[in-house]
Amino acid sequence: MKPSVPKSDSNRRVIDAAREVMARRDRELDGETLASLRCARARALEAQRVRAPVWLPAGAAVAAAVVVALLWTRAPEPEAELFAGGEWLLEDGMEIELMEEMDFYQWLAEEALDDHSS
Amino acid sequence: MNQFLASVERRAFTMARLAVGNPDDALDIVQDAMLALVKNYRHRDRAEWRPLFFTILNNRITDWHRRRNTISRWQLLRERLVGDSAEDAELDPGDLPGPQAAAPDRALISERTLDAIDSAVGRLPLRQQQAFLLRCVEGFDVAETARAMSCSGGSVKTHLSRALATLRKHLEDLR
Repeated sequence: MKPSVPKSDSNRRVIDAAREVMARRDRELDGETLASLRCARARALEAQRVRAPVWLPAGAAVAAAVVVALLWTRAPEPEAELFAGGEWLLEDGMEIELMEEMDFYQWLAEEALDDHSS
Repeated sequence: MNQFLASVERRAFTMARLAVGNPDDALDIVQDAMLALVKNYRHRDRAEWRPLFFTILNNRITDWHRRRNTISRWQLLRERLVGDSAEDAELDPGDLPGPQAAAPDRALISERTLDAIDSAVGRLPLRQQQAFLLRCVEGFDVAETARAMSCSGGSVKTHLSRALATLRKHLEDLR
């Protein structure tokens, strides 16, 4: 019959053995693994170095907003030029296709005028 | 930070390797944990780095097991549907060193004990393994272990008690 060992002593043996096992595993890591761990550490630290300061994205966003605002207020609006004098088309709810074919209708009207005059 | 990471990288890898069973995934987990610590906590007090690092590491290990379980369930489903069992060997988590052919020498008894514990710790259920390694090997207190495992102190004690019972049994079987 096995002599009974107090639980606390057994736990102590288990813990001591486990600590030694882990230390042994740490010691016995091969060179390739250690090199990989060094690389992993270097990559992590490099990410810290190349990380932009926190204020930089915010500053860039503000600068971009200022540029956009300037362009918006100064540049002529292409749509406004395109439809200058033709706001009635939109106000009357006419179809976009109709506006796109205005050249055709203009040509048609001119043809009709020519026919009439001749 | 470099010194700190150098001081924990071996142990982190050993724990991850024990938990996931293969060195490549263990290395990925350690690197993820290092990056997360540097990215999110490098400005914190140095004394906080160790518990934070092992918390991140254990979260990554737990995530790995969750993903693995999901993949395993899909593989199992696929095998049931297709009848393919060729990948059974890959699903076996027991990637641990086998028992060494040691001579029956009294001087090697402690080596036998170490091998038995090594094998037994590797075969503990994940949560028991985490509780045991953090609490008994790394020396975290119950509250720190609970934070690292994202559970209550009571759960830590339960996992630890079960782990110790299993490991004691392995040692008793050797006698």
